[in-house]
Amino acid sequence: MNDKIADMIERKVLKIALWCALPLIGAACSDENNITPPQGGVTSEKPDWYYAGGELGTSFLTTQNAYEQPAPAVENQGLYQSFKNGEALFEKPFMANQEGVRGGLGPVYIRTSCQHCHPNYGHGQKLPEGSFSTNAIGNGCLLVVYNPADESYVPWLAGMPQGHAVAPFKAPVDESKVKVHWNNATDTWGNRFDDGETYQLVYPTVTMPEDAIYVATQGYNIPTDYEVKLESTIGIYGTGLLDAIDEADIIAQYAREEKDGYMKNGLNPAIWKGGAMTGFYANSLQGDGTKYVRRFTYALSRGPLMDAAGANAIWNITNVTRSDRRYHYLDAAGTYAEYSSKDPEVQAGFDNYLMRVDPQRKHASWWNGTVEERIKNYLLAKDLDPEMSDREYTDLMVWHRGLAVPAVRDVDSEEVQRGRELFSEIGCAYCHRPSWTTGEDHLVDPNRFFKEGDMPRYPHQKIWPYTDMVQHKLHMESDIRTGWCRTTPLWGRGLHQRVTGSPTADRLHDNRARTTLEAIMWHGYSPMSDAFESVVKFRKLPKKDREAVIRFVDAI
Amino acid sequence: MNRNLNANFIDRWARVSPAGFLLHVALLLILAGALITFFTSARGLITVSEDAVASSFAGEEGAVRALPFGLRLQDFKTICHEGTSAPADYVAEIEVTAVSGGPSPARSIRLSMNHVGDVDGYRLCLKSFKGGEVTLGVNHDPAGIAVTYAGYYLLFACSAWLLLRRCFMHPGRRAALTVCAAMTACVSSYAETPGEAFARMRIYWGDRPAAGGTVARDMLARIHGSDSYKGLPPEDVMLGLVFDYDRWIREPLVKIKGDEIRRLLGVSGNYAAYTDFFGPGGYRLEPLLADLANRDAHDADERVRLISAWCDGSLMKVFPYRAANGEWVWLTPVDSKPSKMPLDKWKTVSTSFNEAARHMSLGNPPGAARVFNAIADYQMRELPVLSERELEVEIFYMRGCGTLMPGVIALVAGVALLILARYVRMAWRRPVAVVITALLFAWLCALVALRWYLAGHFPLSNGFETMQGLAWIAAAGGLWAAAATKNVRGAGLCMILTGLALMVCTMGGGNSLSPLMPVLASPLLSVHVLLVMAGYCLAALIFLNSFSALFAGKEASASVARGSMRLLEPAVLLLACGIFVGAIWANMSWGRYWGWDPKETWALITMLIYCVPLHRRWLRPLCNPRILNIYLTLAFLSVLMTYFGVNFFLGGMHSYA
Repeated sequence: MNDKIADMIERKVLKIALWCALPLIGAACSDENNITPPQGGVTSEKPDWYYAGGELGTSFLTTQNAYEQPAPAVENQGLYQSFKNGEALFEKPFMANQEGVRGGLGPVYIRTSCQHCHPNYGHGQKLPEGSFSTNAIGNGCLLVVYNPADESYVPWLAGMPQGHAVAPFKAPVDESKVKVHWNNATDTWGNRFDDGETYQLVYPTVTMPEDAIYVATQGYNIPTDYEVKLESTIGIYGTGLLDAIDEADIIAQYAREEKDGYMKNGLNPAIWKGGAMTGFYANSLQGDGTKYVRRFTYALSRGPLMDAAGANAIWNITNVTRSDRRYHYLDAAGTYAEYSSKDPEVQAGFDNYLMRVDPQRKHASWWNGTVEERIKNYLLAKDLDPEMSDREYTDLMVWHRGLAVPAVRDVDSEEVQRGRELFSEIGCAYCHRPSWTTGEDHLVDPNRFFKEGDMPRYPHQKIWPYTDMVQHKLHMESDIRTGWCRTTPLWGRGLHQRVTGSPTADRLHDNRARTTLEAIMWHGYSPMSDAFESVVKFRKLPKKDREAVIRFVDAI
Repeated sequence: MNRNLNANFIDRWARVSPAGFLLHVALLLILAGALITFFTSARGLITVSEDAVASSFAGEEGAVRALPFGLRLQDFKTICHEGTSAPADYVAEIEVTAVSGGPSPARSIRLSMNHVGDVDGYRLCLKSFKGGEVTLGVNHDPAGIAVTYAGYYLLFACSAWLLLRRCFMHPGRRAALTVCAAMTACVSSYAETPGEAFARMRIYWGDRPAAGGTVARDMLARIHGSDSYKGLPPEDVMLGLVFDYDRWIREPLVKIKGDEIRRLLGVSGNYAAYTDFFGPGGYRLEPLLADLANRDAHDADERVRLISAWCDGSLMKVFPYRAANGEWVWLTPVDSKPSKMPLDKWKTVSTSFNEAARHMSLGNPPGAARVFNAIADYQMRELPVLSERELEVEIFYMRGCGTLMPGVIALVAGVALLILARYVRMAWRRPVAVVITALLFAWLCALVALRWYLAGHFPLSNGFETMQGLAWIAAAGGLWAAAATKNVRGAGLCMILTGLALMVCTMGGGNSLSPLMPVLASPLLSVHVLLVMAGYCLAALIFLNSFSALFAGKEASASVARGSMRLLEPAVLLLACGIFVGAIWANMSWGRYWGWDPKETWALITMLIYCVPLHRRWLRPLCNPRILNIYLTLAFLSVLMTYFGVNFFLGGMHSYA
């Protein structure tokens, strides 16, 4: 009898043991080793286009901080401490208090920190439908308010309109009344490739009613024919390398493009006409008016980096003054000062405000006279106390000029290499010029603030920004103001989503392209576009090749 | 007739041993203590703060009762495990102030999670802390506790008497069992491959600094459902995702379940690549996530999020830094650095990973390994926790000490021993049984010892560890059966139980190490859990034994029932001792020895259910072996309910067990 029991137990237990053993045997058999460890799958020799920022300006990370790395040039020149200090100025918010670090925000301002517009140092993110909120990190868009007749900025708002103010002052624009709406667009091909693949195109329109504008609510009669558009920030990394390109080389690029005559819209006559540069950048206010080649911002409104968007933004986004900018950034027509000075609520709170800003009553004109005069004197003063020290400003610019560009990813992939060939073949590489070689890179500062040796330098570097530094026209629906847009450098843009956590690729000047494919197709939206013929060629590629082009653009 | 009955009754009692008799006296004492507690004790809560002296507490019945002393909070602090933010203990310093006419002089007492305070017969224990106020449990029960404790100690003494009496009756049972804790020879050396170096870096993970290898293994297991991918070690896979992202996100790494998800992603197998989850319309799982009941979608979503967080560097907490307030934070390379961080540290945090990435992408693995080694040096300079030796042991343990392999071997060995017991009558079968059981027991001893060393406490603090403990006890039982009683069949059954317990460990998937919760930091944890688990182990053996006879004949049933009954008495005694050691512990931590917590209640029910057959001389039907076997088979359901069911269905204060 005992035997029977033992039999029974054995049968049951054998079954269990078999069940347990089977997966083990299975696991042992399915161990196919057809993938190499991370360090074994790449060659040690990389092509030159892998080093996007050259030897002195390339970083290698693809993590969230891929845009935040100091370039080797920073270490070479012993500028780490400055870079570290500048990094903190960029990352941390400014406050309205006058003492302590990062004080002096206001009286009106656009954002409290740089990171708000440059999430993790990168490009702004696509705005959601509806509101225009600048409190969240990621909205890198500025409101571009302009007169459609002559395409100039309206004079009754600052070129970069402020949506915030320190009490008792009031924000020039009430952002809660600004609305963003996303519209669908259909291109000449019905948003469809010949092989049936489809895509969607969307673009933003912005409405800003009169009652959103402070001076209008106070009685200023604004003209009704203004329009509002969005313009997004781009990444900060690599700007030092673009700054290191010789002016002569940029001029040569203009001359070549004029000679080639491929662009159906020609070149922007405000910059280049009849074989010569017509629009230089010069700073006669702080500098001596020397003329420089324009190279930064979509509108090419800026020349050398030391007096370009970043140097300006740290002052005009926050209205934090410094020794070379001892005045407030306000509207050109002076309407804000005018109507604020008459606003009873501003008048009532002004003395309290002034006690904080000028407790020692150093500025007599702010304390003597009628309250209206005193407010106006304060807002329009040219002798404000510097709120940011020269050391801090220098540190910030060391950091700005010292940010490296992420190396190209996946250069060993056949698909990426195929995409690279096609990128040239179909003509993208004409405007998205792959590479430049930097010049001597002696420091150039139209503002006459920095000295040679203050900044990291990048002499004789072969860099791969994928831009010709020239403006072209795409004739997109609801296009950028004036229609002229500098070819945006493509380097590092493929990392945008990983770095900023954005659900969309956020390409083009107002982040309208949710994928790289959408960005490419916007280039061919109109037959008038300078890139139309390239997009026609792109459309003719088989799907696999189109994907290779996209993979390449995302990899660089 | 009546006289007959009485004689019968007396006769039955006369057969009870003195130890058994005293055991019942002990149970009566425990019951009496409970009654005294019920009728005479006063329990409630008192809130003490730094601002005022509290001298009355809110009783459970709602009445406010006065204390013969006053209480005021002096200080409250949370003590963390070194270098982590995981609480190790909560400590309150309480000032006891004299009330006029009260018996107590002013003094100060210290309460912590496993340390109650006694003031004039009032027992005070920590309950909670909120907004500068500490809530204490008050229990005034001098008589009840004294009587109950007398019962407990008598019960422990009688149990020991009963168990040891049986042990020393047989000369063969005097064999001593030695624990062989095999430790690896730890050679402190720098690793030369990035994977090895990464495995030796510390990463703050699960509230403790863990070896990079542990983290990589854990991550891959979570994402892929297995800790190896195409034969590559987890470190290489996880490093690939960070440093060769564009290639690795195209590998089918993410485990998926359900045809709906396969269709949505356009994949046919059980794994999808990270890139499969994204298309022109954005995140492909998005439409499924609105349905909270869609388990498969939410599981896949969690895996995708884990990969995303891993690849962007935000899980890589590798840089310990003491913040201005003295607390340790573990920074990732992507964190914003504190303004006051010295430049050299800032440089390490800011640039190390970029340097590693440079070496990795330029095909210089030793360079990357040097960077990880340098980070490990930085870690030890900043915060010397998790020493080289501990790190080596952890890596060895995590790589080679899974429970699947010994589980399968134990099951196979169990079957083999049963076959030996059944078919082989040769003399060598016993030595073979001893060798097999001894080897498995040694293996389990090594597992337990390694884990003990790594966790810093006897490993009985969570589900995985208690199951491993059960397997260990069962393996010890197997060796005992083979060596001391020469019972090859018993040894086989024990091995099968060992194997099953190890399988349960594997199913849980959670052998991760985590810091001990404050309330568990008591030596009584091990005693309590070990006794209870030993009881459950015997209950499981009784179940296996009795279940096997359910379909057998009468004779076999009787023989099996006798075997089960031999195990029943120690099972009940171990359970009883385990439960009452728990009660003593509860009295020290929670301020009361019994609280009708679901786990407590079900353990008591289990013990009572198993007590019943011990009294079968008064319960005629249980004298029938077949009925007894059915009873003992069904009784095991109560063990399952206590061990697993309570956690799933009822919760309570034993939720960590």
